[in-house]
Amino acid sequence: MYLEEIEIHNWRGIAHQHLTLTPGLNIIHGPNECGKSSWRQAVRAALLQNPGSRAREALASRPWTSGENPRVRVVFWLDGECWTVQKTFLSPTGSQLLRGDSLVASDKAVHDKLTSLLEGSVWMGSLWSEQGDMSLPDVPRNLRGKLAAEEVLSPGLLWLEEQLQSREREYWTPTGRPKKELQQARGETMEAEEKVEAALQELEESDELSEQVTQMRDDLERAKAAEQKLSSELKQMSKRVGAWDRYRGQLGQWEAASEAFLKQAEWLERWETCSFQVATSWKEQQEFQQRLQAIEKSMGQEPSRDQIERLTARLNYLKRLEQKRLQEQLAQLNPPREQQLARLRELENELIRTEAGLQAMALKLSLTAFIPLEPSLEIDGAEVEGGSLKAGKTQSWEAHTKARMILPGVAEITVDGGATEAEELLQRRNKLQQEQAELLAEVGCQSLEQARQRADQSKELKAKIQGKPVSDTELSKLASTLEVSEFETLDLDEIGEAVRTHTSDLEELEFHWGEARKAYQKKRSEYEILLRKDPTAALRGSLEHQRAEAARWPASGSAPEIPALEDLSENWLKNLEKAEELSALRESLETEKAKLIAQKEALKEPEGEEVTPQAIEQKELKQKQLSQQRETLTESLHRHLGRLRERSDGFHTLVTLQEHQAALRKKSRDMELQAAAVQLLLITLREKKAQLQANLVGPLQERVSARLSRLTEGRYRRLNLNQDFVPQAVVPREVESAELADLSFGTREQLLFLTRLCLAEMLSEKHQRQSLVFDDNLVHTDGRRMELALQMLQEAAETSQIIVLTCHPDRYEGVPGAERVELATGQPERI
Amino acid sequence: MKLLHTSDILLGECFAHCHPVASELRKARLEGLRSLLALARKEKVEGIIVAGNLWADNRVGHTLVKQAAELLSKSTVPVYLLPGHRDPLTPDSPYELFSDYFQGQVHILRNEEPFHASDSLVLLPCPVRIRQSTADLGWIPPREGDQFRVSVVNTADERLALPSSIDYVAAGGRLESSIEKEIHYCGTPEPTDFGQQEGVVLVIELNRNNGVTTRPVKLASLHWVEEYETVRSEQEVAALERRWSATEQRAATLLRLSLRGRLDAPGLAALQMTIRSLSAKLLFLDLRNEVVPDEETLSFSHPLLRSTALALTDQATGPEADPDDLPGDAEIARLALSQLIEMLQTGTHQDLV
Repeated sequence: MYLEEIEIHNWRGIAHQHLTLTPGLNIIHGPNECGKSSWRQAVRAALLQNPGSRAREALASRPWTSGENPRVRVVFWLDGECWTVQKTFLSPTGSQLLRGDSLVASDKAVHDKLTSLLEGSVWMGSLWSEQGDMSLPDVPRNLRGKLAAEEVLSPGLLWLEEQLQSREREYWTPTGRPKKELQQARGETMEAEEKVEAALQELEESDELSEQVTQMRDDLERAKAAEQKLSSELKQMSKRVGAWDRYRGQLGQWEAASEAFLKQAEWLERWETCSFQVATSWKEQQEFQQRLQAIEKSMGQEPSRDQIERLTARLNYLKRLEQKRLQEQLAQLNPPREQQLARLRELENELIRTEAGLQAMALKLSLTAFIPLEPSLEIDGAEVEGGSLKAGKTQSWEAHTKARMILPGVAEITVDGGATEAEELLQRRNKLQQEQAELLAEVGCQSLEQARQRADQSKELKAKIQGKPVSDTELSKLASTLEVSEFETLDLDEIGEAVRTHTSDLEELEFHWGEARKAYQKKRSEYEILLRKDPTAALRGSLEHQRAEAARWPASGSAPEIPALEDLSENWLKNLEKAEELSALRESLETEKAKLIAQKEALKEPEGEEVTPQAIEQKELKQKQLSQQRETLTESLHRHLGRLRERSDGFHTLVTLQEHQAALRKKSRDMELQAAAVQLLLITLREKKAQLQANLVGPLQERVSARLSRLTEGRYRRLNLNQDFVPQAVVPREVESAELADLSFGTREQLLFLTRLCLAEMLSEKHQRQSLVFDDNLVHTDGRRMELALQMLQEAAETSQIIVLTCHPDRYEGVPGAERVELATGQPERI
Repeated sequence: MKLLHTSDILLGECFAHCHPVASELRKARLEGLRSLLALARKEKVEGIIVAGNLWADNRVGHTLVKQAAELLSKSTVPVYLLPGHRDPLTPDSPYELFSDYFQGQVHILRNEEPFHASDSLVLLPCPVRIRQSTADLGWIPPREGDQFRVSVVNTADERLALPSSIDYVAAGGRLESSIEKEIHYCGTPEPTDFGQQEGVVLVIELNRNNGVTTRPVKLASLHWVEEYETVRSEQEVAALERRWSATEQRAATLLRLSLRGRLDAPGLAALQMTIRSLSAKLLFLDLRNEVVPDEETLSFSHPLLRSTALALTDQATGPEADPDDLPGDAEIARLALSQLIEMLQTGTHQDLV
């Protein structure tokens, strides 16, 4: 499409304007606000806008100076035909569309017709640029279609697509949902599947039913077996009842016999006890008498008075003899007197004190003691040589003292240094020793100890001697009466021993006789009591009781013979013999006992527990229950078998359904296959078509890149466009790629200019001449690039209509073939 | 001693995979039973052993049971029926529910106990009472006397302990023989699926001197054939049609034909004709068509058509999906290609040719 003539009335600041354009390059110039942009808007409104629209864009057409409605008339060529559109905007509106001189549409129909003719003409947005426009609107589908290769648009392909669409519509709705037939086929298949599922379910139920029947049969068998077992048990129980009855009877008989036996045994035991007690009593009495006789015999004769006196006289003599001997011994002892003994003690004490003084002196002085008796010895480290003990200060007196103690024969002690005090002490000691020796000689003792011992012995003897002193006469007299003389020759110890022996004999004689007599008398009195007692008295009651018991015994029992009381009391030995007789009875009882035990052993309980009537009742009740259970089971089994027969064709039903399902599935599948194939074919075709269209970016990119390289004189080698034909990046000579944002405003403006120019060229080449509008673009382009841009405009004008709106006409001077139109004159002032 | 040995007659079987002719197939099986009895008379055997699965299922229906039972009851040759895994001796078994239908010489081998078929033959059956059970010959007593002892089992595997006192094991299932174990499988007398080579019954001869000899006798009335063909030209398609048209038993033939290859437009047209022709002539044709147009047919001058055909051809190489499943991508692509060619053949636009 290209524009030929434009006439505008009352459009914004334009009162009236009439323009005639060439199909090539048109340069419309004028100063600012002369209406260049308004002119562009008016043409766009005439072609695309509904005159009655209340949109902001429509209202913007209101004239500034006149009250009349804006009017626009545009003459354009499309597909070789000349069209005229005339529109009056705002109310009242009016539109007319003519092809040549013929009216094609009017009023509202004009807009629809024009939209159809120009295919929405959104592409005009891509080719018609506004002032300062730095963007390229999306290239719409129809514009792509126009750019596409011929094959994409070939009639055959369109027919094919239509055919496929028509086929697709047989199966699918426009929204891509399956149509009724396909849905019906799917539904039928699903329904058949459900029926098959139901049939399978029924078969499973039938299987379960079959299992239940098997189970029931097993249960029934078990119930029958249980019933049979119970019946058998009942029979056994009945038998056992009889057995137990018999057993109980036998047991009763045995127990009675056993009781009789026990009574007999008990009687026998009692009788035996009784007999034994009687016998024991008699025996005891006999023993008592024997023992008394033995005691009497053992006592012998009673001692005589003479015998005692003689023994007493001998004892007196012996005691007096002992006294005499003690007196003689005391006389021979010669003990020291008390004064002598006391003086000896004093001397001893005085010597000890003197010795202590000497020892104290020795602590201060060195001392040498001469010990003549021992040739050499060592005492606590002090060396004794040649009988002299040398004690140093350190070994001192202690060693010396020890030497003295060990060697009492110290002859001389010399104290070195010879202190006067020590000499005095030595002298005193010598004096005391002298007095001590004299006094010991006087008492006839060797030492103080000996004197002390003699004094003690004297005291003891005195203590022993009692009474008046014994004279020889007295002793002779006593001896003569005793007619013994041997005592006189005895020493004191032998006399003492004889005294003790005689004393003991005498005491024993007197005591034994008295005590023995007393004991005998006591025993005798005790035994006399026992001997007087009737041993059978205690048994009388028992015997009477036994007799009464025996009288009550059954006649059949072997009642024992009760012994006479007289036999027990008077002839107990015979009674013992009677007991022996009764041993026969014991034996017979033992035999009877063994027999009873054997009987008891033979009398075994019947097998199994004793059957009670309740147990039999329970069993009978259980038998009844089992019988009912069996009947119920049988009935249920018959019912189940009936149901199994009813379901005996379940598999046949399933087979029919499955085959029907297979047929439906095949039908549905075929339909699905057809539908899917059509869909796939159409989708594939469209995909390939879209791919071909998408590939149009390539040629456009090549064309723009060549122009860019030319415009920038090789600075930029290529321009990259995206699938919407929008410039994305340039490839400079030096670097691989550069973003548009990195470029200058002028260069970016040039890129858009070139893209639009090439797009229009391609559309014009493939379709028809296109109209391209540049509204004061390239204002930031330098002189050299402007010169090259003008060359390109001139070249493009061969295939496209180019309309340049500018306020810089000088920049477009000297372009050959360009139609120049000036808008500067005759324009109304803006109100 | 001469016997017939068969199994898996499967009366009332389902033929969903051949649903258009399912009824005929079932009828053929019943007729096969009649043929079996006729063969028994002809061979003068002393008994027919059916080693399980006379029925496809216990619930095949009263009518069929009655029909088959009446047929068998008329037999002059004793028929020994063993319950198998498909028709186990459960309470819903026809042998239980309709036992009174089986009269005359029909004997149902119900128990694992010696069955004295005659003075010279003892059958030792292993009836199936539970579907998943396996045969066990452990119960078989030692040999007494000089009777032939034939064990009848539905399925026997390698684990089956075989007593030495058995002369012959009549097993159901696939047709083969294990000499070592003396187990003989008879297979079905009438196959149920494509490619099955069975369709025989075994004529057994038991001889004290010569041992056991078996002879398969063909009994099947139908032919289940499965073929894989590759066609590359119209001539090969024609040859295919000629071959199957010339088959004598074509009316009793069920053919599963898997076709592959690439054909030009005339070849494709001829193939369509052949398919229609064979469908009419054969009892049943189950076609798995994976044939695609050859490159020449798809080398359209129109670039868009060419690229479309190329894309579809890429997708079309692949096996056909199972008929029970939804169509696969390859199958859809093959049909899309066929549709494209068909439309182009019917269209008159020169720019597409």
